[in-house]
Amino acid sequence: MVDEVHIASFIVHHRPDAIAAIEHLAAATPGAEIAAREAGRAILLHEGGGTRELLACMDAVQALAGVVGVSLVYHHAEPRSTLGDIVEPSAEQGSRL
Amino acid sequence: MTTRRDFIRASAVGAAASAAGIAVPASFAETATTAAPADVKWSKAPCRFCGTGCGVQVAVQAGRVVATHGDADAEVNRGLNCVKGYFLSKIMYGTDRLTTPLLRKKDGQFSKDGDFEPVSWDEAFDVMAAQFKRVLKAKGGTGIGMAGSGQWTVWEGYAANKLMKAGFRSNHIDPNARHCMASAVTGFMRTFGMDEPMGCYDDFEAADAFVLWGSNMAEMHPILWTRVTDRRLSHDHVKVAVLSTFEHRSFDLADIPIIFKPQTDLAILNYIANHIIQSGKVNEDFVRKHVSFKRGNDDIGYGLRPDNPLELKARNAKDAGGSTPIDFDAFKEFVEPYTLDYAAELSGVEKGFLKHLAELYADPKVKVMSLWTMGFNQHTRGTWANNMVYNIHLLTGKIATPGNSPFSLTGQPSACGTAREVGTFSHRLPADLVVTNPEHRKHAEEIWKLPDGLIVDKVGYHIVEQNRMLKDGKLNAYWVMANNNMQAAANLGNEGYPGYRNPDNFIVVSDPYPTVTAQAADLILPTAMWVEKEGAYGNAERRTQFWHQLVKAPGEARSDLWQLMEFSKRFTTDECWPAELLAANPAYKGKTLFEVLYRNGKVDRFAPGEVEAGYANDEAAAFGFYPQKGLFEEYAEFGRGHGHDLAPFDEYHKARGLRWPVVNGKETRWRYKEGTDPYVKPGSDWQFYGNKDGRAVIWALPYEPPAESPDTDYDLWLATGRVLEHWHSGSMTMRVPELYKAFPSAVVFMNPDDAKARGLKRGDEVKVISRRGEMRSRVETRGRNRVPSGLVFVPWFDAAQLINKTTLDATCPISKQTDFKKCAVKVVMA
Repeated sequence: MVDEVHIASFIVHHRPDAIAAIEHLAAATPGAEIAAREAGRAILLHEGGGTRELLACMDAVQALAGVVGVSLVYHHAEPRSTLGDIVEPSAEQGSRL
Repeated sequence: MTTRRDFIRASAVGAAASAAGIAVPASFAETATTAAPADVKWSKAPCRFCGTGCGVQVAVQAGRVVATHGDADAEVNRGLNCVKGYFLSKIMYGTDRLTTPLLRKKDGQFSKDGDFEPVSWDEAFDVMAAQFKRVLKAKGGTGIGMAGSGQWTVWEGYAANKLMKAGFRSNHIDPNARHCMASAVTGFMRTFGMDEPMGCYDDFEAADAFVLWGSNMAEMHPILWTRVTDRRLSHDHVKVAVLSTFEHRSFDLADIPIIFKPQTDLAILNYIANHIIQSGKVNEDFVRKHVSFKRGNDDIGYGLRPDNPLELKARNAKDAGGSTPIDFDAFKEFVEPYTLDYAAELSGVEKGFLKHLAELYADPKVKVMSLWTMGFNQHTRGTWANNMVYNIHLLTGKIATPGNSPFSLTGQPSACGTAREVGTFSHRLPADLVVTNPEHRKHAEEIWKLPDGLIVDKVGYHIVEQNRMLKDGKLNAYWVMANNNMQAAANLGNEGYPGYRNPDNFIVVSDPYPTVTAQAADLILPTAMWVEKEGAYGNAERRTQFWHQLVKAPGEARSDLWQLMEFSKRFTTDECWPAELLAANPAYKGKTLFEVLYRNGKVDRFAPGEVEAGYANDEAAAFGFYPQKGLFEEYAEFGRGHGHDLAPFDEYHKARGLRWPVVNGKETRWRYKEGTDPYVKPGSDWQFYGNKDGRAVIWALPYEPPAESPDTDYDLWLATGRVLEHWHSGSMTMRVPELYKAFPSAVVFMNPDDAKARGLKRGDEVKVISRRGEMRSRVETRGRNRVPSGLVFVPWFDAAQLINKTTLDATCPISKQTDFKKCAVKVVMA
């Protein structure tokens, strides 16, 4: 088994008063952080050892009262060993790996 | 300095921020650009799961799909993905993927009671052709049938339709879409004379109220649900009403939550119409100019076998679709008994909620989007329910303008594009034409360059009837493609399985995986899926989307298109068409079906070199022409100039889909309304041109009880349906470990009080028993679906727990769509 790191982002749609619970959950979940937020929407960034952890995190958020939807946007997986490599900023625009 | 880790995190946040319409936080913004590695190629494709039609970006590396993410340039989903779409890249790589044809054999020969053995395509097609010829000789085309799919690509459905209706002269071709939106189709045809929604997804951002009639969008159409959610949470005046027979995730957003007794949605719909009239909120000008009225036949039976007592006593079972013209006053009188009191009493819903709901529709200032899926469509009065929701939009003129939108959602990626628009139903031809109309048949024969009188004038067997006819030995050669009907169809123990195993019958199933249906067959053909072939789908908002072949199918797996066309080479017109027809048209004599159907100077007119550079096309390589383009352009002739206009083929490889009719390069967002639909005559404001008089029909239809209700022996309602992580029968999603783990096996969702009364607790193994059969499962009293006392809900994705052994094969008598939402069962300790 390759030791992989999975990095994913998802959007949480929620009722305004649910943000405290989402923040609390993010703080208590290893690898999770709220990267951005605006009325009714929060972007959760998650980094973990596999898709199972990622799904567990999504399920936990989804189960919170006042959360009406969790949508995945981005997912990337690669061996832990290459994650520290330096990326040269490129002249070519392109945000995808 | 930026590490790969920083970069990936920034990209992830950037993509999400852009999809959510939130500014990228400064801490991530700086690191978000770099060049993509040269060995990964990204291409667009629509998701192959539900009918929403999300755009995804697919990454291919070394001939394998390695990643997918939401396509930020796709209008439908704007970069978002649901869980199913997210794991798209894995559906093709299940460990039990079929890679070679498998034939039941004994002592080296085909044998109905033999075991599956790998065979070559040649042997598979030799045996299959011999079986089809045996049936052709004995019965002609009427002994041959095909079950198709809303998952076929547009050209696969079109090629299949030609092979069956023209080649074999059999109209016994019907898609699994019959189970999912046939009632929506008949609803559209009866009200508007033309299929598919007038509005589009742009209505989500314009509506003031959303009403879900029997749809759990939160779980079944999660991406569209985010658009509802965004609208509701960012605009205080917006209201959401959710109606269902049990509480599900969509209730989280509901301002008006309504749990009603099964079947009583009909009474609620008539109450709303009555409320609109009684409160003086009819849009009289609109009704006077654009609406006509009809009273539909009532007491129409339940689409069961004709000798069923319920059918024998139904007065209009033989003329379920019949009607008489009436006027507004007669309609007013007809709905008058549906008072608030009566609707509340029948439905068990609190009056306050019903009134609030009715006022959303009645208030001329509130733009309403009504949304529905299986709750309406899988209903023994499904056609009526569709007609009745249009009634309330038509009475108020809330239709075909932004935000005023009765919107029938679909479950399959090309239920609209292939099943409906291509006309792969047993009564249809492309572009809303029907086999029973001599002009329509003639038109199809002309486009297909085939002899006059070739297409049979009788409606063929629909998919429910096909199982019955297999069992009765009337249908003997049967090809199942892109569906899992053994698991999906109701009453499988008494109708489906005996039909497949009837010794007179030869059953072929084309599938990527060994589904329940494949395992019940005599020959299994391994099928290429999704981006292993070039494809086209049409989603619920009339959007046609294309994709290129991105990878090769594994082993010997071949696309359905290749299978249909290659198989047609083994038949000559002399074997399939009557001698007198050939005598009158000698030019067709001795030709293969391949030659007359696909080598007709139209389908074969584009060279393989026209395939876009950088993409493979295995079918073009095999046949020496570009069949997808030829089939599409021939098919498009049916609709161009007739309100179903499709753009030129190549445009779809560039655009993120286009909504038909596409006229002068422009798609159409709202049909039937002057200014947004080029087909509406100037000065007419609205024009429902599907009907000759340009008017939409308001239907007077009553509440009638369901085919079966709980009684003392079988004391619970059973409703079946889906869960988010699995898509339909689970034949693909059950192969994705993450999805499998999220919801590993089906359970019986039961009210805690009902469980207690039966001495059951959560996790107990139970039997769900109906008059037709039984299945084992486990009790679930918690979780996402909260059912009221008296009803159980069982998802149907699990091949190890076949709930369709218990369901009743009652259908809407007009649409022939099965009602999977209502039958009577009991639940006992196993």
